[in-house]
Amino acid sequence: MPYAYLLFDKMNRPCKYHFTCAFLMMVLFGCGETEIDPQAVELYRQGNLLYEQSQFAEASRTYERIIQKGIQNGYVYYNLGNAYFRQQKVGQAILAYERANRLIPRDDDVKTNLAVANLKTIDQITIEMPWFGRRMVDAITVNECTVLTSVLGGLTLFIFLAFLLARAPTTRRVLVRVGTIFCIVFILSGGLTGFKIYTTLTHQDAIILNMTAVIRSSPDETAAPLFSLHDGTKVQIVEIRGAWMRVQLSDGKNGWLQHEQLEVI
Amino acid sequence: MKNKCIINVFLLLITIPGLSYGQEFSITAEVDRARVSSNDMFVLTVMVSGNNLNEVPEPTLPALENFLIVGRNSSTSSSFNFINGKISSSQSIRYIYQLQPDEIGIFLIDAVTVSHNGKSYRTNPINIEVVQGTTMPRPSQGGRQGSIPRSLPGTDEQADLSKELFVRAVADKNQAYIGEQITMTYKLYTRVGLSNVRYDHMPSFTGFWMEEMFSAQHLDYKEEIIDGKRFGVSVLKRIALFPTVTGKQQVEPLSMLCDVQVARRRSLLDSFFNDPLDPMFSRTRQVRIESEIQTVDIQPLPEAGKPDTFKNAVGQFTVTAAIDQTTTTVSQPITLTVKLSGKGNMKTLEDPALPRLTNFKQYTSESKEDVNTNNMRIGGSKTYSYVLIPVFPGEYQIEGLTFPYFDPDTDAYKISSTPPITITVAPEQGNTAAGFTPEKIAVTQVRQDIQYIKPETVFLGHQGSLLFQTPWYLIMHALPIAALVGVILYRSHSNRLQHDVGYARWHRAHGQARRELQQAQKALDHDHLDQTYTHISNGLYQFIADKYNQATAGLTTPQIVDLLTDQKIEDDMINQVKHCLDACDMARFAPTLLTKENTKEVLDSVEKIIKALEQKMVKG
Repeated sequence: MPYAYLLFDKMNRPCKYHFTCAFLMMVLFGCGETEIDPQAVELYRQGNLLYEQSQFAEASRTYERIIQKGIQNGYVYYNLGNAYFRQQKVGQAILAYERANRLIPRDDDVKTNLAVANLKTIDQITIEMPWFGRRMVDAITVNECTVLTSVLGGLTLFIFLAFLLARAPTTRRVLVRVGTIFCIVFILSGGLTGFKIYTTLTHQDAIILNMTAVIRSSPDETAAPLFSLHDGTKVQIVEIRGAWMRVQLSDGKNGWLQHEQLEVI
Repeated sequence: MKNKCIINVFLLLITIPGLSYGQEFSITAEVDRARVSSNDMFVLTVMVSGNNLNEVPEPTLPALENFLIVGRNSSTSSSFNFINGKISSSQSIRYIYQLQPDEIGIFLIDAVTVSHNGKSYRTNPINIEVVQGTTMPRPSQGGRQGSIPRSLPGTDEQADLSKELFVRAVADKNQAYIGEQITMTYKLYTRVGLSNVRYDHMPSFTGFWMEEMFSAQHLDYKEEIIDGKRFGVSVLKRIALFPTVTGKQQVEPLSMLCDVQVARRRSLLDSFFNDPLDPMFSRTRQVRIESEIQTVDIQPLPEAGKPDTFKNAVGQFTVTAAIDQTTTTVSQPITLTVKLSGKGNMKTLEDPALPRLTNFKQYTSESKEDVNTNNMRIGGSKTYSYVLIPVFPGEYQIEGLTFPYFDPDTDAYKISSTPPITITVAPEQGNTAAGFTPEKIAVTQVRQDIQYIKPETVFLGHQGSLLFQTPWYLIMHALPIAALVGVILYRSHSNRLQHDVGYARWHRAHGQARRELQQAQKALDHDHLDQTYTHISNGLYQFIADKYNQATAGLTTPQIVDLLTDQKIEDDMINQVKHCLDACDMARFAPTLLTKENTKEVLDSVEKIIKALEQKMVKG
């Protein structure tokens, strides 16, 4: 923790107000995002250098090492996707872009490259245009939704506090009205956040990485093949049973396949 | 019954050959002209054809009241077909009557009849119009009339005839690349006199692009000796073929029909006419002759060294590009002429690609094609003219044009190219003030590719967990809750201050005591010692009275001691309080004894006492 010294005084004893200090520190610097591993930065630099020299296989290995260190970073996944794409590994590239899209959902380059990579996939799956509400829900990211709810909650509370402190009856009346509106919006936003968090935690997508993956009617090697999917196709995981996964396409087709044929995003 | 049936079948079988025999017999009559002038003659030809004509009598002419028969004649002809080694023959007798009209008008020549095998055969009646005076031009006779170098002896044997008279097709090569020219020459070889030579069937040349180089208008014989025999040889056709399909390709035979004059054989027929000295009487035979099937092996073009821009041009070509002027002004057109010339199949050549000129408006004005045959090779030139209108002033270079082709003579791909052309475009004069706006050209994206990688300047820390999963974010939410609690506490405190006197006095006690002591300090600084003591005692009394919600006026030292004892304040502290209170009383009653040092000591100890009491006292 780079800011850990705040918690200790000059004699290296725990600071008297260490809890307050730690709390303030977290709020001010958002300590969850401040840790940057210099080794990871060095690997990233090397990867970019290899990519510039068109050594895409080496570049992808270098980026993978950052991920092996347990660092989940959207830009690393983005560059990794590019390196795989240049090696014609469309499935791997799509997987990396999808992961990048989860981590940095507001990055246009990720979306562009994901779309370009999807052009190279074999399977044609018709995706119906979701209804307006669904698109609105999808347009906002989980984190944005969370922050929105927190801010709305804070504002509602602030208005309530102002109401408690205010003495003039007119001021209090205005505050009650404004507070009610804020409270309603806050509850809606909270519901949306809850829904989005629930979806994020329960919805699992995966990318087919085999050139051809046979989807069967039951989790059994001898079961009748229903259809086959190809490298780079995105599926939703509905059920997991041992080494078998039940997947569903966006057009509703579903079936079982062994988990090594795909990779969860 | 059964026997009768069998007999019927037998009868039927016997009669079939007879039926077919009779069907082959025919009689036709025709005139050479339908209109004839009154002072001219015309010819009526009656033709009897069939298999066995020896017993057929001369047909009976109808009564010709308006015509005079001025001559009669007959000729027998046999025709033989040699097809695939099989010989088939048919016989026909032509009876020719020369007629002279007597009167003007439209007349009907009635049916000519002949009886054969007990049956009577009739021809169709013929209308003829006789007009006054003027002579109708004779229609030119079809076919090509040849002059024969010398009188050739007539021959009777059909097998021999095929050695005396034949057509040969000669290809200049048996192996060719696709698109390479093959020249087919058709020659007529004859040792017999021929007349009425005509084409029967022309080959269709499937799998080839055909250009006719030469076609004989009349037979022009040259002598040639083959196997010691002298032949009259005439070139009939010369055809350039450009193969379009690979593999072994066959060229169909060309067949011809001609009439061969044959020496007469004495027969019954001659005695019938009984006029051996008649010069018009002759015997001809129609013969059909066919060339052999020619096979050529067509090879595909080699893949090795094939230029990318190759467009199936085979031959020898040169491309030239010329511009009519190298300096021009904006919107003054210039003409670029591209000429493609050489040997090969000019008609199938694709245009040389003109490079895209962004700063010119480009129009194709005309293209000219000129095909000729030189030295047995088809060749020529194609000329394209492009009108270029410069849009911007400046110096531009038109890239050189390239035209790749395959040269079958050297079995190699070659490229003909032109040097680049530089054009200087001067700005438009006088018209610049008008504000020239160039034509807008849409920017078209030709390929879609991924965006480039991100640089190192991006944030490279861990982003794995979502905001709601990070502890600091959740902890942050304690802040507003703390604020809420704080506000509620503050509200109840301020409420109590308003309504509860004891509570209010208790909370304000320390503040008021400190104010009093500050005034005491001020008085001490100005050496007003008595005032200092007044403030000190006021402060201390006030403080204790406020804390216990007592009236200040009635408070005595023993009462204070009692109150403090009740509060379980240590005796030491109580003694100190007592000492201070005594000091204050002393100062009031004996002010002369006061020293500044004393006073300062008391003030300090009172400050300490108040501070200590503030901490130790518990709200009752």
